[in-house]
Amino acid sequence: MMPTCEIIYILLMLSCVLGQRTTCFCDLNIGLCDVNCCCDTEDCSTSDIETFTCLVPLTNADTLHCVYDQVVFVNNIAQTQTVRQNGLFCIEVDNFATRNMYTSPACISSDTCFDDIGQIYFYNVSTNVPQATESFYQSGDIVYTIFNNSNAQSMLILPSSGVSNVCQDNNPVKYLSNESNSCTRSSSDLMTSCNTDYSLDFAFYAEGFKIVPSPSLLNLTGNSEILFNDTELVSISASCTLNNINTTECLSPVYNATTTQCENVVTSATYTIGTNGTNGISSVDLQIDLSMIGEASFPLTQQFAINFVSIQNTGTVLQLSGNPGYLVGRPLLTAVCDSAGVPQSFNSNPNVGVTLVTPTATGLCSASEALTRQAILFGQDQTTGCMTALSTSTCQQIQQEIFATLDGQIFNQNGSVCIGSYGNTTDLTSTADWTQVIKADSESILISVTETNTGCQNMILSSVYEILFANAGNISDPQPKVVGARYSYGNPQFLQFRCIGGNCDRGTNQQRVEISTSVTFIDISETPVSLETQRPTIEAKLPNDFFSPFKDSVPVN
Amino acid sequence: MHLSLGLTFIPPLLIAYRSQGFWMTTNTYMEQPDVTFKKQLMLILNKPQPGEFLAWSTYSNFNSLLDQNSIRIPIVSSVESDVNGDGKFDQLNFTVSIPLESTESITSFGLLLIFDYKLYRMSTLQMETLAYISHSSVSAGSSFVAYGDLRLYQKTPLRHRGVDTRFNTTIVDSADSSASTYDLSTIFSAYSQRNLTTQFLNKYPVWKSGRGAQQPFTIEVIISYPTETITYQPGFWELIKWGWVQYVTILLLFLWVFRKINIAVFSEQLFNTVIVHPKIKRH
Repeated sequence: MMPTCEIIYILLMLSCVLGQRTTCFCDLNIGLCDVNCCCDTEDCSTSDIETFTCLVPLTNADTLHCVYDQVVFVNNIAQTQTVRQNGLFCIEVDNFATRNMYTSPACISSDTCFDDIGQIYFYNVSTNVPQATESFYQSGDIVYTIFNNSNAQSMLILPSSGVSNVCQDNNPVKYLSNESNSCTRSSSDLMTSCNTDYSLDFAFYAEGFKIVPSPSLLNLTGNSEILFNDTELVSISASCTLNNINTTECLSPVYNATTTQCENVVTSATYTIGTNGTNGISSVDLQIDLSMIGEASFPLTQQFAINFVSIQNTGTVLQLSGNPGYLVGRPLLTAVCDSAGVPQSFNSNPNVGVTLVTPTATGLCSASEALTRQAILFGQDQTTGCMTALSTSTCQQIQQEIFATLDGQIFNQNGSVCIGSYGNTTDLTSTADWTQVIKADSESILISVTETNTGCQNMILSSVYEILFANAGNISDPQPKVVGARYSYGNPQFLQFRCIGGNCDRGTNQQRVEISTSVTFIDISETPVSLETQRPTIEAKLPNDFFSPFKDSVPVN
Repeated sequence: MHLSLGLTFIPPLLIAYRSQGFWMTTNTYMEQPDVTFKKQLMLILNKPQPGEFLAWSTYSNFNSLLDQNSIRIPIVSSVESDVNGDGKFDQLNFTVSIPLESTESITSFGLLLIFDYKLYRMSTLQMETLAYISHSSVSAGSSFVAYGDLRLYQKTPLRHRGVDTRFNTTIVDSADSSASTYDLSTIFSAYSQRNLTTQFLNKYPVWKSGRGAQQPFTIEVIISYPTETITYQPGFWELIKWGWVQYVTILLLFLWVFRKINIAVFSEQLFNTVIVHPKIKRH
């Protein structure tokens, strides 16, 4: 009997009901007649029920599990509904009624029940408080500090921008990972900020706490806590510059009411942390730049950096741009060459060399040295530009000014500029490692500039660096090498003095002209192509007259 | 016999035809496009004051249309990288930094980048496409970063062979000097009519506010060039091949069934049949 029942069960899976409930499912209020609940006979009078549209339970208590031809969802007449149907596919005897019931979970209340469930996801703010577990700092660890106030333990921070560009002060320093951030501080009232905002004060970055040189100090002391006055702790030695001049002592911000400016405001802070292997931190130096800041400088941009230096490294550091091939995004190595292309000296001035013009905040060109020109980074195609106002000068003078803006300082010397072929080119004596930049002659262009009543003819307004590079070395590990560089000017243009409306005076019109510089990197790598030799032909020789019956000319004897 | 032949050869055709397509009208293939950034762009930045904006483009005609206070030349930098070394660029890192005065602020921007888009496998396609990146916020921004894909959007299938340069036309007519040419709505209305376009999709924009005084507004966009599934119209022989494959597979089944039926009918002699014996040699 059992197998038959199971087969029918499968057939009728969709129409099966999951239990024999006899309760009134819509009776949700005891002592109150539930609207439209016709089975709530306890609280509803028969006349109440007559006004109802009866809710029919979606499950019904049919134990026969019949397949229904008609389904009644809402019974809107007073008569009650009785389903009587007995077809072929009804279960007459259900000898396994419990399959319609949920089984109750075996595990009810013990800790292991929860452990056995498996992965559970629940709402919980993860609380990862870093704890000193190792006996020495490893890269990526936070750096511990002890505060003067109540000897509280904390961590060294380096403000950073986060969700917005405004500084987040809780950004922890990670041991041995150099970092450089810039973020902003806002102020609603300069005087209040100057006197109260801790983030403008050098002391926030330098005083009131000491660095824990190694986490073993925190562990070894056990119950006796480490104190601020303990000699093992490393204090921060801060040095300040005020308006780019070294000062003997660091000063806290002071509001100057006469100039309405805030003096001694921190604009940059750079930590240099000396490390000594597993012994941890041996020294902490802090370089702070202080400035006099007016209301207009807010939101104030502050620069923060941290550098970890091993105490083994005492010499000067030379930064490479790749080893050996250039890395994308690293600056081009440049040197001053003589006219023959022989390198003379390294170039470290960011304003000299292969550079692009940087626009000022107003978009105008600036001849000021303070505004550093845009460095050319390997692999980054760039375009920059600025607007220059046409003055009353002659066209040649204007062109000369434009050339100065385009070229920068590189070609003002009696020489040329060379670019290191590889990112690790450090040897000035090996001429082969340097590529001379081929430069267009600006003097001959200057001669061709002619002045007319309506404007200047043959004016150059743009320049472009084209840098050729090719991959060298093994195909699986390509090393980009600079093989050639050219600096050329754009097409000569007719610069017309524009008149709009009645305003057509050349001197006062302040007509502005766009000047642009750009750099493009061109890959001329030649990938080796694997060549296959021609297949050897099979030299199977047949007798001369093998096809002779099919040939046109049958030899006649 | 003729009936049996007809029943064997016609129904497979009908079955193949009625079961959702006998002729394969479209098919797909996958290919990574050969995309190159054309170094052409248009940038429009809106200030919170109504009607005030800053703009710049690589089109000198557009720049000369602008009011002198509205044009602001940015520092543009782009790196196209071939990550897997297959000879095709996989990603563009595009950065633009717009110098701003302390009094200025940016609340929305639109950036138009022009690409050269090539496909080789079926029809050799070359076209000029664009990516439009825009964002707007109520709070003045300091930087914007977005990561996304340059996806192909096809309205009609491609052809299966031949050179396709229908859309290798300039999206922005840089030779024209009239203002309407450089109106974004003009550009988009023509571009959206095309059967083949690309879009900057799957983007994750990050807008950061809190720009410091004298600091520039920066936009960084990282655009991947993903492998695309491209729909095309199969050629004649591909059409015939798949038709044949469908027909013959059903036909083989019918041949087998009707052979069995024929054997049953004729060996059991259900109909009146004349047995033709092989000719007997007469002497």
